Amino acid sequence: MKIGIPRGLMYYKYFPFWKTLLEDLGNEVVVSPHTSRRILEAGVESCVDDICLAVKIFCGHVLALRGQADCIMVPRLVSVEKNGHDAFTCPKLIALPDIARHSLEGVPEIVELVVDVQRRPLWNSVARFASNFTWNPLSIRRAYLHALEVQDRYDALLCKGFAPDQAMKQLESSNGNGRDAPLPQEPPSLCVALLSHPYLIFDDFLNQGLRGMLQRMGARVLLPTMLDANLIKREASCYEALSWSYERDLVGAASYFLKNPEVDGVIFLISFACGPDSLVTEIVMREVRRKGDNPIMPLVIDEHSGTAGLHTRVEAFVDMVERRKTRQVGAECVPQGAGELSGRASL
Amino acid sequence: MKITFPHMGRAYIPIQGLLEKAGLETVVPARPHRRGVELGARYAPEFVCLPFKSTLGDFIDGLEKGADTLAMVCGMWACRFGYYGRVQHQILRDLGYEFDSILIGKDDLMTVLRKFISAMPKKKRLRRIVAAIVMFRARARLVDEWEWQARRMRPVERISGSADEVLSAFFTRLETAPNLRSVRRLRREAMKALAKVPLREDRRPLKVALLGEVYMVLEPNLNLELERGMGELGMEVHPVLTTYRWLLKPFRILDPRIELTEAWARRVSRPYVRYVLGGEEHWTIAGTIQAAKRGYDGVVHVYPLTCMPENICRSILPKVTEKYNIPLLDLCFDEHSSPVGIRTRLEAFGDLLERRRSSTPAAGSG
Ligand code: SF4
Ligand code: SF4
Repeated sequence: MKIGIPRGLMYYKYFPFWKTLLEDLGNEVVVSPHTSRRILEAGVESCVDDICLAVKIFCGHVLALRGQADCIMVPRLVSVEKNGHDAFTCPKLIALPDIARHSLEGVPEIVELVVDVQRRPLWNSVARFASNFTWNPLSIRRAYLHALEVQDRYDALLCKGFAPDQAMKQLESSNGNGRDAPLPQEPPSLCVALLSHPYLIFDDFLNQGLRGMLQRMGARVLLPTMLDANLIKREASCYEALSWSYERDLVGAASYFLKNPEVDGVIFLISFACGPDSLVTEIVMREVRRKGDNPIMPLVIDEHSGTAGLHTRVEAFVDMVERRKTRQVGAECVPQGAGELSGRASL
Repeated sequence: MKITFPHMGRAYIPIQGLLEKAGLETVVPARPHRRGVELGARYAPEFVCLPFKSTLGDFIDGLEKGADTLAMVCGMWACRFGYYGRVQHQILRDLGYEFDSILIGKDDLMTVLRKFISAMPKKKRLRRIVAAIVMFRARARLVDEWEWQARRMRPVERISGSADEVLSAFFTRLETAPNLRSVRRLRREAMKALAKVPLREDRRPLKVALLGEVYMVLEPNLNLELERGMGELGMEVHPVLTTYRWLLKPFRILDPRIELTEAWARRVSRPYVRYVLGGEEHWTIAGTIQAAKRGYDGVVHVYPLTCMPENICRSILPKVTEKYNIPLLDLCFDEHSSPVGIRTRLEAFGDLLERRRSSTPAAGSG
């Protein structure tokens, strides 16, 4: 069977797992093209006005797969960890297949991979999902283990600083153990951390090439995906628990970035109308900031046209960070209220 | 200890009864109004949902009136509501207010109870608690009953607004009703007074289900008196969620129907939303289906801007209403919504329903 996978939301996090699994089960995988204006517009048109930008883009990707595949796989991530507390993902991720199935016109059949680790282990979910394609439990098990292993290698590559596209290419070309060339980044003069979900950080259309922009401004870019998962957990545990798993990781990463002297500034990238992040920003700005004093700038992206905004804001922020750094080097850490900028940029 | 708590429709009447009967001092903030909401919006995160802003405004008002303890329900749900209390109290502390916060649901039950009980007068505690719960239930039921009466009468009254006028006086009196006997007396008096309101027997009102995010459904000052407006336009409003249901949900044992209907709603909405999203999504979907099956004339779906579960419902609802063939009106509110705009859309919707009914005379008399 030809199975389409939309290049949006958790694609950036779990695609190698899905792909390996599906291919090992004897399917062909098609991915929608990179986000473009056409995809964005299709998504915006088919969605409710005030749903978050990330979901709109996802819907655009689903629509782009019409006629390309026999069915489309949409993950339903209900909970992704089991830690004795309640844990969820964002409601929109929980209802993603429902949205795709009931609100988009003319899409092929939607198959959903339900991940609800609170209720059943990942293996059970995968076995259920895979029984759509084969009856043979042995090959399911084999595919599952293989997929897990590929995913691990992928995560390791992301941790080294590869972007998803590069990491996937590496996985294909040399089974992942080939060149360990880290990203071609200049020896750091300035280090800016980008705090956000992978689908905002790595979708270069959505964020208008923010990573490249920062690099051109002479900054090394640090991402939450480059941090060790345990480190994030440890940092997050200093704060009152959030039951949104991905958001808790954001708080953990924020805490690390804000405290770490190596990091000169943090940009918190937020999708317009994102539900959880509207509160998480507040938690980060109020609670987490208290313990660290690196400058941080929330940056909201929405879909309305006009490009110059984001560039100007980021430039201003980087300038500020740079000035602050030279001053600090000169005056050996005079405690100073880090200036705060906030911004809203449009696509 | 002077407790304040945020508003949600007329829920404050039973809650106040509960706390005062238990011997605690309460401060009821002013009913949400433009300025209060704007005040809340000023300090709240920009993109947070409207109930957050409004309840933050309530807290500020309560604190300014001298409250020293803020109570709020919260929990570990998938939706934002679970974090309201925590973030709001943080914002208020940063603003320089000092208070004790009781987050019901996050602090475990015993801690919360102990806090309440230790603030109660020393004598006859058990009796007070029982009396408080009885009072709570009595007031909640009466509020519910009156609200339903108003909904039924509004579309058929001769002088529009007369039922509301009668009832608003009674609501004010209920706020200060000291004991069960006076609650019962109020109920009798209200019945008599309502019987005198002149009605037009010839009019057959449109039946419209009202569903969506619970706060927007229940808070007249935020939904711009939606129920009243709909009533004046000749619609008999049937909200799926009522203050009574919302209040008694945590005390299921007091009314087993709540649990049963909850399970029913989940089951009916399953083909459309398979998992719990943490809001009222199951009621929105199940309510629509039920409205269609019972032959209502239409459904009105209300929610605050960027509300997650209701946004998802809104994406799905067109499919549901198409399948069950029932007209739908979506109303999305934020702090800038204008009464005129809402009114215009309601009028157009009312016309549509009238036309639809006259073209299919058999339907609509559910
Ligand atoms: S976390 Fe935010 S951006 Fe991501 S799907 Fe949920 S609402 Fe959208
Ligand atoms: S249900 Fe909607 S309004 Fe209520 S907390 Fe959730 S997002 Fe906000």
